[in-house]
Amino acid sequence: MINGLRVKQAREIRKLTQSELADKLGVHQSVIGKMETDVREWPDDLIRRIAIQTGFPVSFFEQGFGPEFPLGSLLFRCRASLPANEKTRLRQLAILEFELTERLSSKIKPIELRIPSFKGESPSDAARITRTTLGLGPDTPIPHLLNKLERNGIFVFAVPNADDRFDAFSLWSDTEPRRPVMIVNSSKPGDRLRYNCAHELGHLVLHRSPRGNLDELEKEAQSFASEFLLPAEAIQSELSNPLTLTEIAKLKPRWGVSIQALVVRSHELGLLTDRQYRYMFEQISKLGWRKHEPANLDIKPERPRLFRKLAEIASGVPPDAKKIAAVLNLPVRMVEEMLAVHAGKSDLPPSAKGELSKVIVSGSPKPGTVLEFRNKSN
Amino acid sequence: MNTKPEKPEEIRVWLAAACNSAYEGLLVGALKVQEYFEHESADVDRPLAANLARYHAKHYMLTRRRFNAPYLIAQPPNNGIEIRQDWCSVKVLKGRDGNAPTASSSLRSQRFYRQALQPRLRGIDWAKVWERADWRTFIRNSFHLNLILCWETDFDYNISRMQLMCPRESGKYGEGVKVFWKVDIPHPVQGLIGLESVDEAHELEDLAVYFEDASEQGDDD
Repeated sequence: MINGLRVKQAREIRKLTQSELADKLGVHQSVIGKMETDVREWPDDLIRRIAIQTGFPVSFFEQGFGPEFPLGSLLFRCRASLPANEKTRLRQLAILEFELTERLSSKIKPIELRIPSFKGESPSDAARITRTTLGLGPDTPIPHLLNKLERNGIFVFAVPNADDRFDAFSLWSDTEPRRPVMIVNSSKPGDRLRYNCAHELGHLVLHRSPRGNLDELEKEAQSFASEFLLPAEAIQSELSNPLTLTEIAKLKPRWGVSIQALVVRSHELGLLTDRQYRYMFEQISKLGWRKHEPANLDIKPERPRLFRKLAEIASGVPPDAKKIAAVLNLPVRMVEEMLAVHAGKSDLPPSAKGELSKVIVSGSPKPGTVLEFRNKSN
Repeated sequence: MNTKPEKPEEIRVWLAAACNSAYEGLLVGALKVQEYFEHESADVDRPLAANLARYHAKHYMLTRRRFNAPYLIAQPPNNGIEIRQDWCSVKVLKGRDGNAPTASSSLRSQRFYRQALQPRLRGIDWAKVWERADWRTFIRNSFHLNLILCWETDFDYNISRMQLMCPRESGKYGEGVKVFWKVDIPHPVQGLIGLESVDEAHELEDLAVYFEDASEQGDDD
């Protein structure tokens, strides 16, 4: 039996339209259309050719349904020029990473979910409460933000070869229990990545079931991110007049946000007049820092850890992409790329590296043995 | 003499604190100019603007100078700014199209440009000594170095360029100043180094993962 949704998934990951795939296979587009809405037998030859064209093994198409990331629930943070087929590809890749994570963690106690949910609170209040819930001080910078989010139960994934115009998206999964999921472009500079994560966290805590004007939702997430990363009182106490771009830029490494975000925040807090604000952005533009801020203040980008950690537990360090790919019948190359954009044990400082071995040694499986994964019935 | 920085880039780095202070001050000054003429709803009056910018720049530099800064700020007339650091004097002057302004007609100004402000030694005319000297000969034999920190603005009175120049001769009006060398001064933000980042300051702990059938393992939060 061929699961049409899996065919659709493979096709969308390869950025093919139904017509393009049909042309490659020498069939009418309606055949693909019909195939993708059904679970039924199809000629072996056709399936083999789909496998060749998409690079997915035939067994992938024979699997049952995976989780869904309903389109309406996704709040994409990206430039408007990001093509629709790239958005779709990112979404499908994220679904596969989520599904793999679910399977790999079948023997693992779910990480306790400790993020609040809000209704009616202002984004700033929500940010302050979220800080407290996550065990963060009210007026201190947040180190290792992604790690903090993962430790509090958010599944954070990076997608391989993401378009530069893509920043992040987030949603609550349709699984039981529902799980907050965040997908990021880990090739972004560290400060940008942190801001994107804070923005998506805003969506997760404020817009569990997103409704209403999209611009409003985005503004709320933006306000949340500003207060979450740059608490008003702390920033007001750290900046004094006359404010110069250099004085503001000095805060970048300490707070882990871009100079531009700091300028915007200073303006929001009334520390900069409209004229000063425009003047600073003129300087930033002229110096070419809108896209690339000066390298001497670069923030090292953090990468999400959970996905690769589970793979390491399941198959050893470094993880065996072949074994992990077999869990979901995925192309090995694709899994290699997925693993590469997540933090591995070797990326951790020496003090943190002991943790994984501790888990393997004291847990039931022997090191290097593959855990039995939860298999969904086909 | 051997410990003196000799290469232009080394001299720029050696003077970084002073140059950054002047750069910052002029950025503040340029903003004040914009605010002033915006408030007056008038076109920017260039001579007045330069005076205003220098006034605010100097005020900024004097109030922000740390007590242990390696340089001193001299206060020549007409809102002039001059920085002194060890064996070096730097005049902060407004230039145009990548050139410093020519020297005024005063003898002192001419001697500044010709690097003739050296200790008086009987029978030696420093300006003549340096006439044919190359940079290396000059820097190895001079007692004093005169430099120009040349700032420029665009039409909207944003600081568009900042250069450190070593003058050789003023040249006639319109010919441009002859220099041994000139180097661009980067924006002060580009000179911020060694600041500890948010992640470096805190140790990272790996994710705690617990097996269903095991008792407490992994780290605690």
